[in-house]
Amino acid sequence: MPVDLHAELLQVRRELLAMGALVEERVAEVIAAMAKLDVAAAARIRDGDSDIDRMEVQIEQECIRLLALAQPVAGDLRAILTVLRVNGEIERIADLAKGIAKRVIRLGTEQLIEIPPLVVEMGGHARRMLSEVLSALADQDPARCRDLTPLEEQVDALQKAVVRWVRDEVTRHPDLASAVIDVLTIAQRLERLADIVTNIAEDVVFLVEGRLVRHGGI
Amino acid sequence: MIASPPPTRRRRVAATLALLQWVAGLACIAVAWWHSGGQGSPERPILEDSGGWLVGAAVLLGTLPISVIAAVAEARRDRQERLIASLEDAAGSERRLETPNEVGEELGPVVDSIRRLETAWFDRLARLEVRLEEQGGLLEALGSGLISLDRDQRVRSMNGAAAALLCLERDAAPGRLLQEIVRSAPLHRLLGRATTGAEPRPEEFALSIAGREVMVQATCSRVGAEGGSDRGGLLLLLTDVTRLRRLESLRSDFAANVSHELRTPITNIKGYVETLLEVGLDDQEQGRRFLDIVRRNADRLAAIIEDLLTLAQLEGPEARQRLEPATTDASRLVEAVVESLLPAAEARGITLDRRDVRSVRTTVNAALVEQALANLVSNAIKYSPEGSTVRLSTSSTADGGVRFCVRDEGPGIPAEHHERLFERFYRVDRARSRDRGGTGLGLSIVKHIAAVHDGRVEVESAPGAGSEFRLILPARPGLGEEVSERGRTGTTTT
Repeated sequence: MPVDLHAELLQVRRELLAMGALVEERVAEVIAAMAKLDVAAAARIRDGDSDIDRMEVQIEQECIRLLALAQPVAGDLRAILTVLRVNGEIERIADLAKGIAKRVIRLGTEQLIEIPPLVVEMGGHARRMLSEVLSALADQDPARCRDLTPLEEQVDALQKAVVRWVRDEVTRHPDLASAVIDVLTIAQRLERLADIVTNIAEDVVFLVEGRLVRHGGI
Repeated sequence: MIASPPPTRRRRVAATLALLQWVAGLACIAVAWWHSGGQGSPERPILEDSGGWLVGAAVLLGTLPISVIAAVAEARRDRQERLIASLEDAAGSERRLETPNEVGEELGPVVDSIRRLETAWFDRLARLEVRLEEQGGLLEALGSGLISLDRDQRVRSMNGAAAALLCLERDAAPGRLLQEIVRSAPLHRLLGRATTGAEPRPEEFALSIAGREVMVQATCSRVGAEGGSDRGGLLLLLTDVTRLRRLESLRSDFAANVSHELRTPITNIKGYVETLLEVGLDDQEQGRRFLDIVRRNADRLAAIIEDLLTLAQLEGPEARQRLEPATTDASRLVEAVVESLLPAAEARGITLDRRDVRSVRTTVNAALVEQALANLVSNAIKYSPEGSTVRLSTSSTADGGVRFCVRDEGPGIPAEHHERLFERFYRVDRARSRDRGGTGLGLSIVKHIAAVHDGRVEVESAPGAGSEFRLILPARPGLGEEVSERGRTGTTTT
């Protein structure tokens, strides 16, 4: 059966954007749940991961099938490679959201400490970065990715501040160490999320301009 | 289909053939003449040797009709071809058919039929265009956003409401995937379900558009026939229900607030009356104190109910018709209010400063405006520290209206409360304002009185800087400006 490359590319792109929207929603929910230590909301996110996994597998299978059957070149090849890569990155973001949800459930159940404003701010930045990069992907506009650099720098700076906070807190209240480490884990996941967002931004540059910009400025 | 040679070449071939026939005939005659020696001789008269002549003449006469028939057929074919060419031309350009000058007898009826057919089609086309325009107008007039998507879920077209709802440039969307222009998991799920041909069912969810949340009700249905790639697709209907949901929540909040506000005094009254019944009226001093509390609570209940009734009257659709405005002087309205509130002000040692009250002619319902001013002034008295001054002023606005200002030296109101200050039962500080006997409806009444006069209320206040409330009314009800949200810091227009 001949493959209509154009229609199928449109299809995987559609599925990728839909998955992006779903993951963005999850991230927004988990960050809101984190700020309020809302256990019920976090539990919903922890349990609702399977549809994203299913979407990821489906997109990957379709991409591999297209690579094998249609043997795309140039722009089409780049499009499929980008979808494959971004697909994996988005799924990892969903995993991070799930990880954060688990810690939020624990912190919310114990009710020992509140999430420090530093981490809430990190969450807000990470969320904005994700939203920007998904817009860049939808519009295929690498220029939008350039706004990410200052945000990522802020996230990094906040992460360092969180580490300092953790150090102080553990010395002051050794009995709260386990909860404080949960907060640190959340901060690390958020920082990782921001990292993945910049990877996606690089993929968008590759898609549109055909340049590889890994490990360098965009 | 066999391609016929171009008309010019064919004509040349036909002309050459005719020429050859004539040359052959003439050649026969010439040979016969030469054979006879150029002229008749007595021994061989021309007539005797007229075989060659006859053959030549026969050839000439015989081929003449053929040439004539060929020429006629050629002309007919020529006309036919010109007609076909102009038909093709008309088909390609959507213009009306331009018939060649002469079409000949045999093609005349054909051309007439074509013309009739063409007229019928053009009429139909014109009717369809009118229908299309009409339907386009209907779709534009639709308050809801309507988006037509092709099978690949790319935007085919959308109406103005959809573009406005999604904050999109209308011409930028067609050809793009819906997933590219709107990022919303519930919406994508809705589209996915519609492509499977599921029964369309309206769904409600929040869309985050350009940084703000919009509640939408979305319905997506599959349209068009199977097959044909440019037919069929999805039709997405998006209705903005943000306002509706907000109103609903306001209504239920209001119902909850009313019951709460009414229950508090009733509980108090019941409690004290029951205590009195239990302990008896022996202790006269205590009994008097309890009855006093009962009276205060009953007063409060009466005040709330009266305010609620005032609000209901002001809100009714006929409030404007019943307004009966009369021309009066703004300073007289202020004087009347001051007269009634002077005792309350004096009790707290507050001066009501009226130096800036000017005489301004205005056409309003005096009783309502007095009530609005009384609410503003009594608030100012209630919230000002003892011994302070409440400044009253009136002035005329640029468009001939009147502006009443009430400025106090109270604690001021933080900016985040300004927008909600005029809502019913909204309190900046719940505990304190009820202590001071407010019903929680005073500012809401002011807002409604301003609204029935087509005017507005503004507040300018900051913590520690006192508050200024301004009631701005047009020269005459009906001349008011559109209620506008002004972005000035610390000022809220309602």
